[in-house]
Amino acid sequence: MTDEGSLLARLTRRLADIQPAAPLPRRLVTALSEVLEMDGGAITIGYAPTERVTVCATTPVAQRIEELQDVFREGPSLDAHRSAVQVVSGPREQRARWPLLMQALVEEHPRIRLFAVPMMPDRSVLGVVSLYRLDGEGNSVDGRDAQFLVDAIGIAVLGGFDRSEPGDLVWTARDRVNQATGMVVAQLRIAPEDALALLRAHAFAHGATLVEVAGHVVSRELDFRVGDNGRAGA
Amino acid sequence: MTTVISSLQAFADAMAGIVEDHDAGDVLRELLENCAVLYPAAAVAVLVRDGRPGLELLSATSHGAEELELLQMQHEQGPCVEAISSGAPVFASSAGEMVQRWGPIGEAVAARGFTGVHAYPMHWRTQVIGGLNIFLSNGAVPAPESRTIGRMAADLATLVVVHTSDAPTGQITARVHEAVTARSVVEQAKGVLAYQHDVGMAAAFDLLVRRAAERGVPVSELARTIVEETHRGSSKP
Repeated sequence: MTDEGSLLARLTRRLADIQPAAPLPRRLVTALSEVLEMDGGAITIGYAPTERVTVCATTPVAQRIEELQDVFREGPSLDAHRSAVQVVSGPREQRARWPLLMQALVEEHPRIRLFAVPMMPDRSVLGVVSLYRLDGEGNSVDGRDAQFLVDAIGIAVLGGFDRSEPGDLVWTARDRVNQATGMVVAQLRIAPEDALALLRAHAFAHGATLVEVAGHVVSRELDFRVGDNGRAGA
Repeated sequence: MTTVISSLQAFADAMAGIVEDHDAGDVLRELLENCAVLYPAAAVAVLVRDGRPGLELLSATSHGAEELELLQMQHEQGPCVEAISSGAPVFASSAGEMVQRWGPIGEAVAARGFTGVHAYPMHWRTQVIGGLNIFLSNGAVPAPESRTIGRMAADLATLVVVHTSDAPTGQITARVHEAVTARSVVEQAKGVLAYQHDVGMAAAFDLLVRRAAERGVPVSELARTIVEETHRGSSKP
């Protein structure tokens, strides 16, 4: 497995290259899909299939994969949510598990491969990131790398984890988080909300608190622009 | 006599700020700076209660780490907390007295070279919304009118907080909270400038204040512009 810090740094660098106009969840999945050499993906949240909401989909194909799962009540995202484990299947297994879904998809995309990873940064499933490859071949995905990145995205998109959200902090700590947010805005030229999301994801990645990571940014031990030399919280 | 006239001028400016609907952060900062000169004091800060536990910093003449740390230590106890809970001003004029009254906090204040600390409650009708915290240093003996200056500055600071808010009258906690959260964007802008110019947070704040003065815009407005332009990639700092 790749070192978690450098994995997140890779994701962050891709993120910085993506047009900031799109909402953060969508850019995160775009970056993830590039890092894992996929063609696209989507985030869904919600419990039962009927209450599922697609937060974002990076391509029309990704959108269609989610819609079809809602229609047929079968598919990798639903399985990943139910089982709380990653769903990776070979071509034959895919057809056996989700006959209706695959039949609808293979007409246009005969060699498509579907993947789904539950977002569970604190062990309970917050949602699912689904990914696909149009050409079934390609490098295999390291399951632990994928899980780590998806969990970090879950933290970035949905917040939480150590619960030290800026609003709850004592003012010196809140000031530091705001200052660090400003520094990351300057480093990556992203919106403050996105910078805060990255600080959260970084805290998660290093088992540190948001305030600790903010301290490392303010003290210049950690610079998101140059990668991940700082070992926040380590 | 000179002090009285300068005080009147300083407080007239603060009143004008309230009446003319200026930026609360700017009016407060100017008020505290004038108060520091007239008192005279080494540092002045306003700490308020905004519904969360402990005290929140609203404005301070210094953004140096040491002074901020002293203010933070008073989150739950210390001269400012005492002035707020008793509703009466608090005066300690020697290191010995500060240590005796506030233990480690008094020691920390003395260790940073301050020779005394004063605190004035900020009354609003039946409530106390915060306190004006004044640090004294060796070089400056408080003027005879210092207590009047302190009380007036505390009252004016209260009016600034209460009157330059969009929250409905009566919801005093909401008004104070609004004033407190307005600081967030200023802190973010400090982070932007600190990174771009490779300076510390106190220097970044000075830079922010200076630029706002040069352009004749409120600090919070310039802060918002800086953060906005930086992430839209259009700023040339």
